[in-house]
Parts: sequence; C-alpha cells; structure tokens
Amino acid sequence: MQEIKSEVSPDTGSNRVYLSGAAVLAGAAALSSALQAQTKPVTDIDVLNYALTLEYLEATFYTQGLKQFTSGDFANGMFATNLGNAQSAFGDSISSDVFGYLLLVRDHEQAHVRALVSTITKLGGKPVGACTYNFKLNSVDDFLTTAAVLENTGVSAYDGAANLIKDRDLRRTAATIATVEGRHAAYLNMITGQDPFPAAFDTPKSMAEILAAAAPFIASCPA
Amino acid sequence: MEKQITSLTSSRRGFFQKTAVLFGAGAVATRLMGQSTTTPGGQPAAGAPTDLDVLQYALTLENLEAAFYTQGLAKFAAGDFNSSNFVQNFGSKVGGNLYGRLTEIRDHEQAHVVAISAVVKQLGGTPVPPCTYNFGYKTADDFIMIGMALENTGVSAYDYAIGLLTNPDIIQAGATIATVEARHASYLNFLNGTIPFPTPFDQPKTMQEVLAIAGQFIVSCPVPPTTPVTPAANPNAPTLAGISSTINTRDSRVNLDASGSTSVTGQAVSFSFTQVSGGTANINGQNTSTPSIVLLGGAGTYVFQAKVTDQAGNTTMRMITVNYTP
Repeated sequence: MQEIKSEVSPDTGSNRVYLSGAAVLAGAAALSSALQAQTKPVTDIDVLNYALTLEYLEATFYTQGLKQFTSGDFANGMFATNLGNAQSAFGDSISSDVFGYLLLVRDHEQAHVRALVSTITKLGGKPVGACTYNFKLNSVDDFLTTAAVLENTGVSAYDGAANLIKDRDLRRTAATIATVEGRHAAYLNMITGQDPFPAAFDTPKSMAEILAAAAPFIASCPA
Repeated sequence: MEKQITSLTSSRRGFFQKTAVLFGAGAVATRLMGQSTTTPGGQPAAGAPTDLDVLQYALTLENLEAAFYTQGLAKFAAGDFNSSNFVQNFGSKVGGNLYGRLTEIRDHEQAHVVAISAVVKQLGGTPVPPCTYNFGYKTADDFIMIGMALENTGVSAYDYAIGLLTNPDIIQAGATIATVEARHASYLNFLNGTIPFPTPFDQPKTMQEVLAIAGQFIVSCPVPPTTPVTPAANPNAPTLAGISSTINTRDSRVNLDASGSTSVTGQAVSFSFTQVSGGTANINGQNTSTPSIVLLGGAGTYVFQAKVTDQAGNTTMRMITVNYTP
C-alpha cells in the first residue's frame, strides 16, 4: 500500500469542474510515478499511462452506470424533466436520445482505452491496469452530474498534458481525443442545464490537480 | 497579385456555390498548396511551418469564424432563430437559449482572434488581417448549418496543427482553443440534429485541406503573398501514380487507378481516398488503388484527397478537383 498526498492548492475556479477531496490513493503506483514525474522528466509513455488512467476511469464509469440505469430511468430523471420530458414542449428530441448518446460516449471511452493500451505497448511501455472504482451513483441525476464532471475534467487533463508529449504524431492523436472529450463535455453540460462552453479557453490542469480530482472515485489500484 | 486557390461548390442547398479567388492569403496559403509529404516519427521536414506560420494559419480561421458570427448575429434577430426549423424541432427550452449561445460562440471566436494576434506580435509577426467573406446564408437555418461546418472544420484544423507546434506554451494555448471549438461543434451538431460526437477520435485535417474548405467562403484578402517557402520533399516519400489533380467529367462515375504507385523500398503501399468538399459522393474501394467515385450531388466541383502510405509511414498526398458537368 502506498499513499500519495497531493499538494494541490484549493481550486478557485468553477466547482463544476473541480472535485474536492483529499487526494489519498491506496496503492496507485502508476499515479505515483506520474506525480513524481513533476520533478523528473516526463516521458511520452508516462503521459499516455496518465491518459489511460483517466480513460479507464471514464470507461468503467459509463459501463457500470449504463448497466445500473435503464433508458426509462433517464426519461424520468430530474434533468430530463427540467429539459422537458416527452410530455412537454421540449419533446422527445433531447430526453429520448440521452441513453443512446451515453452508450456512444461509453463506446468512445472504451475505444480510447484500447488505443492507448495498444500505443503504449507498441512503444515498449507497460500499460497501467484498471483500478477498482467507487462512483456512488444513487440516481440517474447523480450519474449525469458525475459524467459532466468527468468529461470537463478530462478536457482539462488533456489540455494540460498536450505540451508534455514530445512526439508530434502522438500529440496529434491526443488532440483528437481531447476534442472528443470536449464534445462529450459540451453535451453533458447542456443535458445538466449548464453552459456547454463556459469560457473562450478551456482551463488546462496539471497531473497533480487531475489526480486529486480523480482520487475520490478510486477505491484501489493494482500495484 | 492574385492566386486562384480553388473553386469549390456544394450542391447541398446551393449556398456554397461560387468561385473563391484569394488575393493572396499570404505565405500560409502559398506555402501549403500543392503536394505535401511527411516523414514517419513525427519529425518536421526541413521547411516545415514555424510556430508563427501555424499561428497565422489559426488566425486566418479565427478571423473567418469571428466574421461569420459577427455578421450573422447582426443580420438575424433572436426572433429569426425562434422561427427557424431547428428551434421548432427542439422547443422553447433550447430555442430560448439559442441566440444567447451563438452570441457566446461569437465572443469566443473574437477572443481567440485577440489572443492569437497578441502572440503573433510577441513572435515579431504582423497578424494577418481579416479577409472579405461571402458565407452565402439566407436564413437562420442556413446560418446554423454553416456554423456547424465551420466549427467541425476548426476542430480538425487544430487537431492537426497541435502536431506542428513546438513552443510548449503555444501548444497548450492551442489545445485550450481546440477543445472549445469542439464544444461549439458538439452543440451545433446537436442543433442540426447530427450526433454531437460522431467518432471516438476527431479527424485531423492538414492546413492544405482546411484552407481548401475555408477558401470557399473567402472573396479576397488584403495581404499580398510573401515569398513562398516550399516544404522540402521527403526523399523517401512514395510516388502517387496515375492521379491527376484536376478531372473534368460528364459522367457521374469517375474511376481512378493509382496502381502504378510505388514505395522507395519496393514494398507494398496502402491507399486512402477521402472527400474534402463538394456535393454528396460515394467512394467505392476507398482503401484500394482503384477506387470508383460516384458523384451523387449533381453538377459542381468536388474535391477529394488521395493518399499513398508506405510501410514505414511515409506518405504522399494530392488533392483531386473533379469538375462535374453532366
């Protein structure tokens, strides 16, 4: 077992993006190396493993949540009602698509995991494994709220990591994932009644900040 | 000095139909037209665009986007959007926000122009000024549809350009703009009834591809071209044989044959044919050496990209302009 304490200062920005919580991870060896990387030179494989850590979390989140809830749950959720459910003027156009669109988001996150694992392996690195997570989803509205947080956090993570990647082709591939996370984030913001694009520039966040945000969701990670 | 960049049309609703003559979009366009090659391993070839070049290119696109929203939101009132087909489809919960959201997007694009211009100046450059544009929309629905095309093109442009940049601060700034363009694209796709996030990976487009798309909205630009810099050819690039850059046809079916293409090492090469712009078209056998293109969108100009890749990752690309007059 290994403890990581993050020295992130409290985020002064939007609480939509930031998840508070002490960053104490049990056995997150992979994350530890990413944090140490702040003093050591970060390799491209480090950055890809960092991205993989986040993509595993996202992929698991959607895979679990979409097993737990049905499309009917989404139609009856608070957000669907706020947006206007099937009986209101807003109509089916948004609410009835939510489940299908979330399945697509899940598929994207799974595709990101596969691509990162394959790239890390190809580069001679060892892909980190998935952790055990604890998302505490009591309702479909919890699920959507958390999804929006994760996607916006993903955007900040990729924006912060882009300039750590030295290989131009890898950096370009990371950008093509970053913009897809941005698309997901805009959609989930809209579904949860928030501004899809709250600023002219997204906020890049450091690995330490992102890992602190992810920590509350992580129960344990393989050594 | 005048440079005919391209003539692009789209039969879709007919609003892209015009000839785009650029009075020199400066070094960027001049440098990037024509054939391009890349080396494997992601290292820039000698003569590759500098950060300043890439920023001027980004500014060219942001100027276009900012003008698009500024003009469109001056032309249309909130009420025009409320009576548009898109709002009718979605009802008041989305419709009531639409004008405000588009205003936000306009403000973002203007902020991007201001920020990129400042960095260009810091690097000792003179920011490229806006051009004169013709976006060709008549209704609020047209406007939203063109907005969607521009935002998705912007995403592809930034995704590619991030691989060209070298300065870490500029890379990071580029990334924070790219994801905002993606948010805009997602929202506008949604309004248009299209999937907000159609693929797990967005598609990077080269400067050349993006400028071909942007060119169709540009009437003229004030900055005369500077000395063109031709990217140094990659000596290991495969040949792309049998593919003309212009094809005039009266037949809706165009058969291509690039089977004479070769790699320097003599090993096998792979092919990719994709559509860049124009009306609806099907490409049968798009990953073969002998694709067959079926032009479904009627008379007009269609642009495709042919790409040959060897086993080491060396590529050669060529744009194919197909003028279809049945």
